[in-house]
Amino acid sequence: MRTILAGLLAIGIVIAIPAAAFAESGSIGGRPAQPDPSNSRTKSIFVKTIAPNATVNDVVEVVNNTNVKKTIAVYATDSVVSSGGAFACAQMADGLNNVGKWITLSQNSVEVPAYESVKVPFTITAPSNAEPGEQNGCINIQEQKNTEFQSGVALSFRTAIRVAILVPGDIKKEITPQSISVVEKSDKLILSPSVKNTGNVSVDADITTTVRSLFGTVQSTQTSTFPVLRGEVTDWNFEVAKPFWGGLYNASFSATYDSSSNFIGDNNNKVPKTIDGQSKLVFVTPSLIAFLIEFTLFVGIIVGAYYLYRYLSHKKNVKTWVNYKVKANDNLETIAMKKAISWKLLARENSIKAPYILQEDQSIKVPGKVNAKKPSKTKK
Amino acid sequence: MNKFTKVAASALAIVGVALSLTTVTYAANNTNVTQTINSGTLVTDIRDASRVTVASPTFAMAGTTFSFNCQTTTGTIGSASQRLYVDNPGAANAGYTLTLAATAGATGLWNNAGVSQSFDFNDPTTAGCTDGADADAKGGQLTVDPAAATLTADCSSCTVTGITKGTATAYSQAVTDSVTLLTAAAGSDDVGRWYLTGIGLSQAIPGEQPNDSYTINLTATVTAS
Repeated sequence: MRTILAGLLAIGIVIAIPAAAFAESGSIGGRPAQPDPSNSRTKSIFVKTIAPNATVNDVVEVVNNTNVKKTIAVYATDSVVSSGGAFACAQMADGLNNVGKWITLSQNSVEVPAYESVKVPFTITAPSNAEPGEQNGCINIQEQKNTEFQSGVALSFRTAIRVAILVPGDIKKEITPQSISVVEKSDKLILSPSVKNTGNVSVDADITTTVRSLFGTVQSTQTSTFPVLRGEVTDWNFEVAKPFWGGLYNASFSATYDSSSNFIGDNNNKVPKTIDGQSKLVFVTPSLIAFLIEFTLFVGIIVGAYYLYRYLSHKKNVKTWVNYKVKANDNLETIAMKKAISWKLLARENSIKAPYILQEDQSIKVPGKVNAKKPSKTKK
Repeated sequence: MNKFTKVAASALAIVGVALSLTTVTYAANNTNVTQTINSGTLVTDIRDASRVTVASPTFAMAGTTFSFNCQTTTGTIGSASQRLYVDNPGAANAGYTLTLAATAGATGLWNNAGVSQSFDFNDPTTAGCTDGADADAKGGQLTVDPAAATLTADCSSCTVTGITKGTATAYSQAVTDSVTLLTAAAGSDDVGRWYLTGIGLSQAIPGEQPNDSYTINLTATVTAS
């Protein structure tokens, strides 16, 4: 019996190893099935120009890259603006009020075999009162499955395909800079520039953030291209390395975009326009190592300055002070009082060490003129 | 070598020979080998450390005790064993956004199993502690903090350059119904796989909320720009 079990175990291990090794994540999504070869953006989103009352047809490809057959929901929604001005899609439960309502899918649920895809045709009809400019909606692809009650936050997932529609008419393409905020976070600076789209179509803007020293030296610069949606204020969080030495720095940003009448993905006859955003003076704390170095240097400079002052003062005293012969009953304090200087200064200039005893007829140096100010400290 | 080991070794040898023979048979029938790699799509889901999809991921909030006063409970989305992944196999060359919203929409609620008790996730009145002017009669507000999360590139050729994490944001009905977790710029890697761990959650629970287990369903959506 033991022998049989051992054999089965060994075979079991051999069979199980490949299964575990090739276990992969699921992959359910979709893409435009008929992208326009002249517009690379149409490989990932739908880009359409539709006049009021006009209808266009297209097809979405629903992909199941998992190893089992899936039932997948395909549904249209309006777009919404997510925090920070980012593009997002409304939920199915939100209802349809705008572009989501314009889209009619031939199917709302498809069975997709493992490692295959299914094409779902749809139409978009712009209503007669469609406002000129860009309107956005979404086609969402989501696995249909039952969920059981579980305490806490339960997560579902979906892939959405943006449907960007240009309704012809009076088109305005413009963004204006808003502000930049800077937050320090451990060894990083988070620069958050924001811009507002004051036009009626979205703009793909190259946002550049720069950190300069007060002398104008560039410490860091980053450029990334993001969409700025129609009518929205959009911000981003750029993480850059904190300047090692700390101190005052100038953070600024600019945005460059194509101000021509090109719509999404159209790169012909671009008219680049750059707008500069505000700059902000920020104090950056130095890194720990930099702080220690800076503190040591600071202390060194202070100590050095003190000794330099003493040296220069001594040199001056050597030139201006005169000889004085110590009389009976004189001591450092009485002489210092007469000359209106500190007894410590008198002792130091004459290299007199503790216990500060003077001998009668001893010659010491004293100021030639009596100082106007009296010494603040007296020898106890 | 004892008997047990001998038998195990024999079985392995038999399986090995069988597999070898199978390979030889197929090789003889395929003189022209073709291989097709299907293009993938932009996807998001939760996977474990071995990148296997977690079927029904749930993230517990810290337990609290009944209180007559408003209180806050915290939690995180994304851990070492439940990572929030985004795959872009060249399907979104102009970047993408990853957002999080209540599946039930702006009128969603935290509900108990029988849906007899609930509280809100998007009522900003007194920081979520009391009910405001929205249609429901519930207080409560959920804040999501993607800035606290760690973003990791999980492939040999991809980096996190050009991908920005969103700012900590509280849901507010009809004002903020969706929170941005990630925004990938056009210049970010066209082919890449990334995951987030440690997305902060903070929920204000109104005073006198009955003790029970509550759940809310959130949907993570990835959209090409």
